[in-house]
Amino acid sequence: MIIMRPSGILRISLLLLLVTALSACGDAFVRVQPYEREYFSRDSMKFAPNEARAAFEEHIFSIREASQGGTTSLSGGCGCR
Amino acid sequence: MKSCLTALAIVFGIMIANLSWAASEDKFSVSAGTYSDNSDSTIYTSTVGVTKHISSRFALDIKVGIDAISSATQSRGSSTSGGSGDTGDEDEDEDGEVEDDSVSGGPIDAVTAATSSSGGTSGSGNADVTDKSSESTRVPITVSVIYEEGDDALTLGTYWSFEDTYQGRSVFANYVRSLNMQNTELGIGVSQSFDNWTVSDLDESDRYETQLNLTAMQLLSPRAKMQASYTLTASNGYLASPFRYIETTTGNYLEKLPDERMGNAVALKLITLLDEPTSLHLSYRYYMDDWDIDSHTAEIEVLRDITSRFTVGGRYRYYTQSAASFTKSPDEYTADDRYVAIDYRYSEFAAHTLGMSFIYRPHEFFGSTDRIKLKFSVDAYQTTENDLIKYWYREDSLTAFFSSLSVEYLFK
Repeated sequence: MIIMRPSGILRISLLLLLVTALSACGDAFVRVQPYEREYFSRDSMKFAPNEARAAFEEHIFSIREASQGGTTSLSGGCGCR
Repeated sequence: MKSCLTALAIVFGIMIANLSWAASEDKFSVSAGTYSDNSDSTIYTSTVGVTKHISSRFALDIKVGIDAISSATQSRGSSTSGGSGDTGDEDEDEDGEVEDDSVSGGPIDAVTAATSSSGGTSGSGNADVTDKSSESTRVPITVSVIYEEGDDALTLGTYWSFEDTYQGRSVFANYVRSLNMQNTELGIGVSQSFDNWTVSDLDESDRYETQLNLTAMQLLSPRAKMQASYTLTASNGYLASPFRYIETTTGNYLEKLPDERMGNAVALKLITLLDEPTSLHLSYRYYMDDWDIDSHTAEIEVLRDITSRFTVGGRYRYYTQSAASFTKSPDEYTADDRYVAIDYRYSEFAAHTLGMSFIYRPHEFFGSTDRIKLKFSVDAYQTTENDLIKYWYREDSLTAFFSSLSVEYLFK
């Protein structure tokens, strides 16, 4: 049913390679020690400080705009899209 | 191919076997949201969710919501043709042109696809666009199981959504792994939906969507972190709405869209602490698809801890998109057109969003100590001027306000 173009497969393959490479060389990044992570426990330092707002606005924007994706959540479909 | 995506996901999962993410937090939450705009559309939504470990490694996550949608209905859009706009039944012929007989039995809501529960139509049809309201409800349910072991977390779940005229069903899997002493986090998610319109008289009513989601998070310093994500979305089936059609001087046409669409989105998000109580969130997303729509979304948000228990945030979001390759001005469609794009979402426009958020963490709340979080947000949304918005809503642009309120109770 879904026909993936060769360029699409190539793009995904490259991304998978990139992510795999990142996982292999994770040690090359700066290493923040556990005792240095105090700030990351704050709500204001979370990627979604307000989960309810994030979920609701994702739905609103999907109703009002043609774009989707780029978030970390997977959501189901609705007739409004 | 769906099987191809699934196979890739499985292979990738095996390649990086041992993944994980931050342990899921046991909590109970209740949230509500409201949306209203100058096209007289309103949405009220409420959701109840619970995440609870049922053993040391397994957690269950359930969310149940209900959305009440109401909107001004339009009798076949606003007629720029000065056509009769009668409300008799209509049928689509082979060219996609609408002839007398029924379209789908209800007034048209270009925004939400809500159909009138009363089944009436608004009558005059030549420019009367807001003389009746339609109402619809939607019940989304998500159930997932989370398995956590060490630095790995695997989530398997399913989603159902019930509407008056639409059913959504999907399954999803998500796998996250922490690396580098939890300084790096990689994730992969796949979902497959099996949706369908429950409107009668449709030759095709099924809609399928496959999503692949890759994410990478990296701590940059004790005060900064970033996240990169990529989403591939492949949709096929009946992607139009049976409730949208237009009248032109050459005839009346149902919305007709290609039956396949593939979109790619890449996003980056950076969070950094500006000073002790103030954090800065920056994000950017680029989206493109094979309908020739591409878009840019940029957002900046500043959150400040006013006290140890109260956080205030302000944000600005800018969005701009190009038109689909087949989108035309409403008056330009003819019976020869293969596709008829009526929804303004497939045209060129930009939008601004301005909002504020508040988080309050009371020390004691009904006898509970440090277990409650109250979160509130309010946003204003404004599009630029757009011909299709004028056509549908008799407004130069859309102006909307939406808000959310949630209460979270943390189990300890």
